[in-house]
Amino acid sequence: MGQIDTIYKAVLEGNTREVQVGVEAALKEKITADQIMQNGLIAAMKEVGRLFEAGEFFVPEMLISARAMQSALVLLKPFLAASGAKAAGRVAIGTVQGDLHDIGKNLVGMMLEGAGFEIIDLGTDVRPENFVDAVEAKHADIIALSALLTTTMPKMQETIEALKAASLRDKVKVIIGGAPVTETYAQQIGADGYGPDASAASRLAAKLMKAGHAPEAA
Amino acid sequence: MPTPPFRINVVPDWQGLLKCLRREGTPARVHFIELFLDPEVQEEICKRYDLLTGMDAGDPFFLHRRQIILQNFLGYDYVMYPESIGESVDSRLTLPERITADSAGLVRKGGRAYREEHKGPITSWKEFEAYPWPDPQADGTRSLDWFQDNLPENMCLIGGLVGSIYENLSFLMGYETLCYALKDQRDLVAAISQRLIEMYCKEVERLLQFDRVKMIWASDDMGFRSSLSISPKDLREFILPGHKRLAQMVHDAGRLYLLHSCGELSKIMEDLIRDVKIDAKHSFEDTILDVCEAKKLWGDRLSLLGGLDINFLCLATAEQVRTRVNDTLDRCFPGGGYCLGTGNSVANYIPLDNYLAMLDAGRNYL
Repeated sequence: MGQIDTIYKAVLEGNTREVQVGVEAALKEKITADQIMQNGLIAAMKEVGRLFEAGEFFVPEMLISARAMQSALVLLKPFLAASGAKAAGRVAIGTVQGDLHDIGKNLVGMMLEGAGFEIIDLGTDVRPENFVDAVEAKHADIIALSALLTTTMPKMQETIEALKAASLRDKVKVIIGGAPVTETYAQQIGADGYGPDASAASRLAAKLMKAGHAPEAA
Repeated sequence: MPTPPFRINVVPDWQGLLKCLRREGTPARVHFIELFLDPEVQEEICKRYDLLTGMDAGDPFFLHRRQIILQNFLGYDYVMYPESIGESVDSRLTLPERITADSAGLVRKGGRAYREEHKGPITSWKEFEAYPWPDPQADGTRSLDWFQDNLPENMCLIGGLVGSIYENLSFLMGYETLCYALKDQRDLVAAISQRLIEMYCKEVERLLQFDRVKMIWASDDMGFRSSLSISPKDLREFILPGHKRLAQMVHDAGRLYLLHSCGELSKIMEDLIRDVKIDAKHSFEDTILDVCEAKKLWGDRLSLLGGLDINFLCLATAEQVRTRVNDTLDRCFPGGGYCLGTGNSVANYIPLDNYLAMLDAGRNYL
């Protein structure tokens, strides 16, 4: 089994040490960091997402695979930077103001990272103006909003309004998700998309970037 | 005198409730059931309809008497013990919480509490050994003795809520920690689960000593909107054997075992029906599975409880609530095996008049 296959399998199985050993061995074999990233890590996380949506993987399996993937990213980052490899995009993610829940948000962040996105994690209880700042000062291509409570969902619309007020709405895509959130609600408030789970959110972000609706990551 | 919210009087009938739950034919009337009413809802109802006039708040059994009066007024055939009196072993588990402001209609003083999702009080063997596990026998039988003698003859006790094996495993470790521990520390997960199962066995043993406890209600959320919280394989290893053991104890004592569990449980429903042998299932959400669809799937093998969707109850008019009650009863009432109630619990953010309209519509059904 080649090193890429070893890395892929180790991510799927959530074997952090094996992933790290695989990455180190692959780099020694002069496999580029970008190839390791694309064919090892991103491919594996895509399969993790598929397995989750198919009902074969559950949240623990996703978290464990994501942990293994993140440990590999730590090793790869200097090589990726040196090679000038570009992220798939930059996503600013946060749980909206008044809401403290973040497991779902964190899972989405991990899946996005596993899909090659650069993540700006704004945390929980994030005010609309902080999302605006993520676009203005940190050049986020996508804003990802999470809410677990019906009572905090309105902050999603407020965030979109804040982006409009700052003349930034057409410079960024907004995706939303969380337990009470629906596709209908996303359309109602003018979001660009809704992700029913972390895997779907990651595919949505990739689709939006591919469609060219958001500017290239800096 | 406050205007009563119900047009028809209902007399408690625990025997009718049992027949309904055993699916022994179409009941004479609709039976009602709830996991619990939020304290703010209970207070508001007692206040609005003057239910506690003349009662002595200093009476050591004030809460017990209040429950009987309230449940009787609302049309329930039972009192839930120990949940409704605050004597459950779960209430003595030390668990971290995060508090936010409450925006519900009947506001909760002190805010709304949420469990810590990342790291609970037990993440290592050292913490497991040091944890102050509560004694399920600590409350003794004082309240049960009182109910045995003072509960009206036409009412029974439901022993609950017990059996939160998965829930408390995830609260004690923190859900995120549990997720990683399922790979890194399976022996610790097993030990915590087993400790919880032993705790609930003792609590159920305490309850089953009393013959007015006609059923045991376990409450153990194992999923969320689109999935189980952990894999079916892990539930089968760590959690479901505990429910099977509790159900066996309850059945051996001639009582029924009800299970409340939120989430998308389709992957373990056959385990629950055939292996655990639950008698009834509670918690239904429109976004997961409507109770009327559940009736079609499992109604010949399982009784179904509640199902008036919480989101619907929050947003509907009273008239829409009545229409939906009638529609649900048209499909679920015949043959027995269905009790009317909310999809989860009577939360303080459900408009009170909608809850009362639901009950009134149920009373008027036949």
